[in-house]
Amino acid sequence: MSRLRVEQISYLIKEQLILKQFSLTMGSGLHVVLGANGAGKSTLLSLLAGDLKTHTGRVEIDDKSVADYSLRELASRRAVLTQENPFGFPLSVREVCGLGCLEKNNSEKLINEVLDHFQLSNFASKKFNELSGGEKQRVHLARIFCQQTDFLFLDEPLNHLDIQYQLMMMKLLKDYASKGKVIVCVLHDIQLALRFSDSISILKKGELIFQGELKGFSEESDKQILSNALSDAFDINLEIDKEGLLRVLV
Amino acid sequence: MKNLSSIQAITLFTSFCVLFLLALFSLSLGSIDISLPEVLRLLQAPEDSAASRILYELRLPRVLLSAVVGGSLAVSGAVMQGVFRNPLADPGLIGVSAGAALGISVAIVCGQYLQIDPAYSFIAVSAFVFGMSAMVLVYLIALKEGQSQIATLLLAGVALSAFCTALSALFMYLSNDQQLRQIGMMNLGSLSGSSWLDVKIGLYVLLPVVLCLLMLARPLNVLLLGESQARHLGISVENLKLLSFVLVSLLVSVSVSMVGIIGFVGLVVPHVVRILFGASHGFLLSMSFILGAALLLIADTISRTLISPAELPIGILTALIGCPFFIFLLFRFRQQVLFHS
Repeated sequence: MSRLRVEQISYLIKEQLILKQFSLTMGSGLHVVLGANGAGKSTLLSLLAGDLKTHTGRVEIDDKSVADYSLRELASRRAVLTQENPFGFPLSVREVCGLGCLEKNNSEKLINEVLDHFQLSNFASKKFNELSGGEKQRVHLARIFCQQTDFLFLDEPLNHLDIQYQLMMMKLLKDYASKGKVIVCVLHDIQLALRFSDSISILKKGELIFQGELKGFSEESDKQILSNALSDAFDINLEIDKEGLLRVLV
Repeated sequence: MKNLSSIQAITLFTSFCVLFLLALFSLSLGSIDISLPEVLRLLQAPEDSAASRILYELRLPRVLLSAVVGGSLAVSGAVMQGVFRNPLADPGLIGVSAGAALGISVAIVCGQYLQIDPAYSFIAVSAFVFGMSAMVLVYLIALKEGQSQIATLLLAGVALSAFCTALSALFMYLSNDQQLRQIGMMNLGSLSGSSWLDVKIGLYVLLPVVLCLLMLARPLNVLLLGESQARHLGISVENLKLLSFVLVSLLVSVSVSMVGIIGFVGLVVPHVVRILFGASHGFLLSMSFILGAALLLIADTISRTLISPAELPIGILTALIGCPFFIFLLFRFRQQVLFHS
């Protein structure tokens, strides 16, 4: 069983605390990180992915510190989607997806399956730089899936996607997580997070102010705690109604 | 190479055959024409005749060297554009060309003061040493905490190139008329002194380096996604950059030391291949080698036949032949912007 453990991590930039010492444990499932702009969500993902070194504490992927993995080992354990994808060379969609395949064996079959899942089969030979923003985002996500790792760290994977593809993507992520994978995902859409995620973590100015699984969230008091945390994080009044839908109180 | 599709493999094979025919055709042309059947016959069985000596001592080394150098420069350009992810990148970007040019000027002018005959080998070694040193300097300037920033590398390369160019100009100012002409000819490139020693260097140094660069095709493709994504896919970006710089600098400084500075091939040939065939490096590097070889071969053939027995500097011809073709392609395919996000 895949497991991600964050132990007392903190991160500093120029002596300013960006993340304030906290711990987390995530098993298989879709875990969403929420928070206002600048709360430290992307920094947390970079620490999980091993891009940044923690100031204190450690991040463990399957009981081994990320710092102890080689780049190649890490690539076979986790895939990462960043917000910035500076990419303009005319590679085909199929070629871009192929870059995600670390193993040569059966890569063609895998690429075909993933392209099909992401409804990209018709674009396979189209040049990447001729696609729209949403199509590019789907190709990047398809490439991430081609990497076939047990851990996915996704920074705003729904960027540029319309509602139809946002729903499709969340279903694909949920489905992938149900196969024993650990997916940590930074989202801005709280509604989708509530509907699809297995657990939610909320950051406010680098502090973890809420962390919990949504499975047992049926009690009114539980919803109240979550809506209070969300209201606190985003500095607006929110409530979660009986159907589990989020309402903004103006 | 196993990543090439069958269509790409056929295209490469066909292009290589065309290059071979071009080479044969080039061997037959010159101030004394040798017919194609005669060329083929002499290649199979050399004989003690004027035609055979011209073929073996003058034309064959020159044709082989132009192909190897042209291909090497084009591959260098393709690698640099890939590493920098910038359409303006060329092999000279990290200071190698300007450094090597300075090496040429220094050798020609100082050779006289040091009372060393500024022989061909002295100039060649100087060009090589200065070219490699310039690259190392640019890399060290851009290095911070074990990482080199692309933007700093670019700017350091531009600054050091400008500095080397200014120093070259100073040496040109200090030179006498004969030295000035010699420096001028080297700066415009020429294959007129090609020898079998050059060909051996080309085959034993340049070709293995080109093969090493071909093996970087997949990491270079991954690097197109950006440095952080490349790291996420298991590529050690810093090692890749350093290895690319060292190999490209070797290609360029060795080429410059043998034939002088030949611009344009490294900048434009990779773009032509990208426009016509796509950007995947496995094919891009291989095809750039063939096309670069063909361009320099054609340019050299024209340079030695157009105003025969005199010769035109080859740097003029690569630009004169390549530019209009490149501009035509840009015009024809302007919808397909090469690099945009």
